[in-house]
Amino acid sequence: MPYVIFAFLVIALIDFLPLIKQKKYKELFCVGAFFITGVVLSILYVSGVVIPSPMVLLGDFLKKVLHLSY
Amino acid sequence: MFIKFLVKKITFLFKQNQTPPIETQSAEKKTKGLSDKLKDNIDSLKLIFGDSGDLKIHEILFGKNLELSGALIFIDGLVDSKTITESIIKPLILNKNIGDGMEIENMSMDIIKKTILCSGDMSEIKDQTQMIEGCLAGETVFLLDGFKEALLISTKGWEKRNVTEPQTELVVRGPREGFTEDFRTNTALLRRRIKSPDFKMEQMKIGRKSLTDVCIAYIDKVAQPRIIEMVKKRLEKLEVDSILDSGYIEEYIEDAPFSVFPTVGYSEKPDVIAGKLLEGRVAIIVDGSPFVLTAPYLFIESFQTSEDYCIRPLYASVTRMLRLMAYFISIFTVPIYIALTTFHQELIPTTLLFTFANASEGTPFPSFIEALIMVFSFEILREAGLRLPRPVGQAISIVGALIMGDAAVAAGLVGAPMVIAVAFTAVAGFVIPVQIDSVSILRFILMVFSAALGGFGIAIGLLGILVHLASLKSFGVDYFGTVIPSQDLQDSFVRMPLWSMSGRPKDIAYIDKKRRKTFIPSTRRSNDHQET
Amino acid sequence: MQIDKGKITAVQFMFSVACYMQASSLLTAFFVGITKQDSWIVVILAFLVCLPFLFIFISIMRNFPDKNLIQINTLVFGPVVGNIISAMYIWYFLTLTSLNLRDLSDFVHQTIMPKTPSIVIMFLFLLVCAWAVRFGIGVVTRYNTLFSIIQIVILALAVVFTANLIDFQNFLPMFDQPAMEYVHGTHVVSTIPFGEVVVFLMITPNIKLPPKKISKFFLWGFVIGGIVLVVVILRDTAVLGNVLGLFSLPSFETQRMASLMEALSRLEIMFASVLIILLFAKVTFLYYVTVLSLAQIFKFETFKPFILSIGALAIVYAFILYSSSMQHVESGTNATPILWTLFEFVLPMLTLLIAKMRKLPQTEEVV
Repeated sequence: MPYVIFAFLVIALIDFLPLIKQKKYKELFCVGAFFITGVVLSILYVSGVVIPSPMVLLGDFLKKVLHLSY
Repeated sequence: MFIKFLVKKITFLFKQNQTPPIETQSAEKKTKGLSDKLKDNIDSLKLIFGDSGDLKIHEILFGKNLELSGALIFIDGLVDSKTITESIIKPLILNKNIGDGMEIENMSMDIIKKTILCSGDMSEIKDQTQMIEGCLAGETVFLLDGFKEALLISTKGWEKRNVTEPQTELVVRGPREGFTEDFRTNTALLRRRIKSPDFKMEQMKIGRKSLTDVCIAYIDKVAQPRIIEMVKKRLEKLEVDSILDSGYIEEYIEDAPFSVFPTVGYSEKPDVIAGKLLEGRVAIIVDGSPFVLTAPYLFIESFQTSEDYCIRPLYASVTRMLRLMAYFISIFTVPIYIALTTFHQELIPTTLLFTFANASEGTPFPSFIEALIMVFSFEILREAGLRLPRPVGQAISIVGALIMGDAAVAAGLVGAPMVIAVAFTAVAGFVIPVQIDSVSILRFILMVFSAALGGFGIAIGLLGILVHLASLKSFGVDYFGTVIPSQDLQDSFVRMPLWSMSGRPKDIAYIDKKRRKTFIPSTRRSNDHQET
Repeated sequence: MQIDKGKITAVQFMFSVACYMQASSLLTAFFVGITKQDSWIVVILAFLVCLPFLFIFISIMRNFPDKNLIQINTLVFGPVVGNIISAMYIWYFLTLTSLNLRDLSDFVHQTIMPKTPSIVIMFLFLLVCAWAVRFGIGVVTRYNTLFSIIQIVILALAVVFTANLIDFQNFLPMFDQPAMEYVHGTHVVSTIPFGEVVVFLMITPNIKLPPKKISKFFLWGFVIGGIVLVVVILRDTAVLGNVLGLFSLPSFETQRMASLMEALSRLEIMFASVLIILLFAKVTFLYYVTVLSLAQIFKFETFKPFILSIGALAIVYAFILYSSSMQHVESGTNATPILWTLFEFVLPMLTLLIAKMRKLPQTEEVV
């Protein structure tokens, strides 16, 4: 857990500082969105929370709802 | 306190991407004109030079009635005194007819230059800075009372080294001339090999205190103007104290100062430099250094030696591939050995495994520490061998090799296979002298990676090095362009025969891209003469 | 508007396509479980099935020579629908990146370093990939030629070394299975190794050649990749026979059984090294395409700020996607082909049809 947080801090430092300096707030917002997603998912995963996987969900959807499977 | 320091350092690292503020030009040197009184000029000169023992001021009186008084100023040791006596003092003093047939008022420096003095290289100067620079460059200043101009007469003659075989690039077959420290000798050596008028040399002086002569040489329609511009701009931007060696310039203008790979090449032989100029590169000749720089410099050039082109192509190709293999052996042997013995013992063939196990039975350290000890002691040995005078050097190499290797094994400090691995690595490393710094550092980095992660660590390290190589550019040309298949492969891993290398390297040459027409030599030449 | 102004030559492009497909040749567990000893038939069938779609890709590239896939989507489908489709493609690229990263990490974790946590392997590997992506398309595809040729050479060597184990009886019985299996197998192979070349539509503007001549190189790259895949399957079937379907890494097992004299017996080191370098090429390329598409859809000037964040997301995503490799293989045989069909076959066909109907591009018709 502490490694994860440290790694994300370093990523934030390297990525965000130049953007703040160049005042590119639109880019900051977009990168920030993906960054926050990554942070949230990582912390959840490291804490042991089972996150449903999109591929598995889509596979179930195809099989059960659309009956499109072999 | 520490946090403030950290923050400052990190913001500095990010500020580096912005262009640094252009250093303001040093205040325009006040150009002081010469006065027309001889005594004033000489006094101001004595003031500037102080009590320098080698500044010589020789006052002369000449003319029909000894009415003209002048002075010769030069620095002893930089001038050829015979020239001064024969070409300057003699004509002035022995010619009793100066001023005969014309009024004193019509006398001028121009007339003295054109009719009286016997030297081929003279120029008129009007200000003091030029006079001082001329003196320091080995020229004689001729001052005349009553005239605001002075004459600068070229009388350079100082001790210089003869043109000998260079120590760093020995060849079996091929020319053996090498550059010397004298600027004019070097430019002459190049001129003699490329007699085309397209061969241009642009001169400039760099260094506030040393005012070193630096010249950019290129062949006009062959070198890319973009590269010439880049080199010129980088040299002109230099505001440094002194340039004592071409290595200084190399560090100031290179593309990737933090990379282990050199992006500016050097050579001590005129034929090598001439060959590179003909391919479209730019050469930088520095006064005081026998090493001439070339830009751009690509990775594959470290493996090309001058001898490759003087011997026949098949053997040259074999030797070149041997050099490439030696380079890789030198970098990878020790890391692979560490990885094999620490992580992947199952990959070693069984009989060899017993030997390794036997050897590491008595040794206390893990492979990585052993390797570190051996590589470190080898580097010390190499450095010591360079510094010692020659007679003692031989003894040290024997002592080092035998005693350190053998005794270390006998004492149980390191295992015998490790000594062999490091010795082989070290010898292989000397095959490419230019890349020695990259070999040592990369080997160490890969050792750390392999000790940490084994085979995967070596793979990661290797991929990292490859990515770094791929991203390097030397003056706009890709550094490691050899892996992209193109016409330039003709001179990379193999050396294609000269008759098939009909085009200059694509990335570097500009307008004139063809060297010769490709022709395939006939195999039946000896039969041509049979009919007669 | 081109974000990355690097250019690659046509020969580099051809070998990039070949290298990308060769990377999939090492991880054949998806379809050999279905058709076992007849897998080579399935591969050839899938190759033939994919050829028309390859021509669709080439045709899209020729019609829109200086636009990459995201720009084409916005142009053809209009801004709203185009952006939705582009977002779906970005999800597709990110999933591909994470899947391949997961493959590599699983392989290294199971065979070379069982005690190292996967996160370390993924992190270090992706760090090198991120560094390569930072420099643009030139560095990303620089070594693909070399890697492709290395893989072909090692494949030839491996065939030679396993020659004594080849038994042509292992191909029998042929055509013995229910037809549905063959259809299933063809579907899987045409979407997973072959159809994934749709990602190359993202680098159309970076190729240094007029679009008319691209088709030759794209086709040749595809052919080289296809041939390599067929040879790999043939060799594996010839050596292993029916039990091919049981292994998670059939090529690995084949090379493990090979030996050259008694001294060099662990030849799977060749397989491991080739796998690592080819997957490096593939993951770097997919990573680059993901980051580039993101920057393109938001119309930024450079994709550099995205690299690290997307990298972190890709690692987490790789862990989330499947909890075990069995689930991975199972999903790969059932759900993945159907999902990928949408992205690789349906959408490009729709794009081309609508482009032709709307008579795009509005400049003169490119013949």
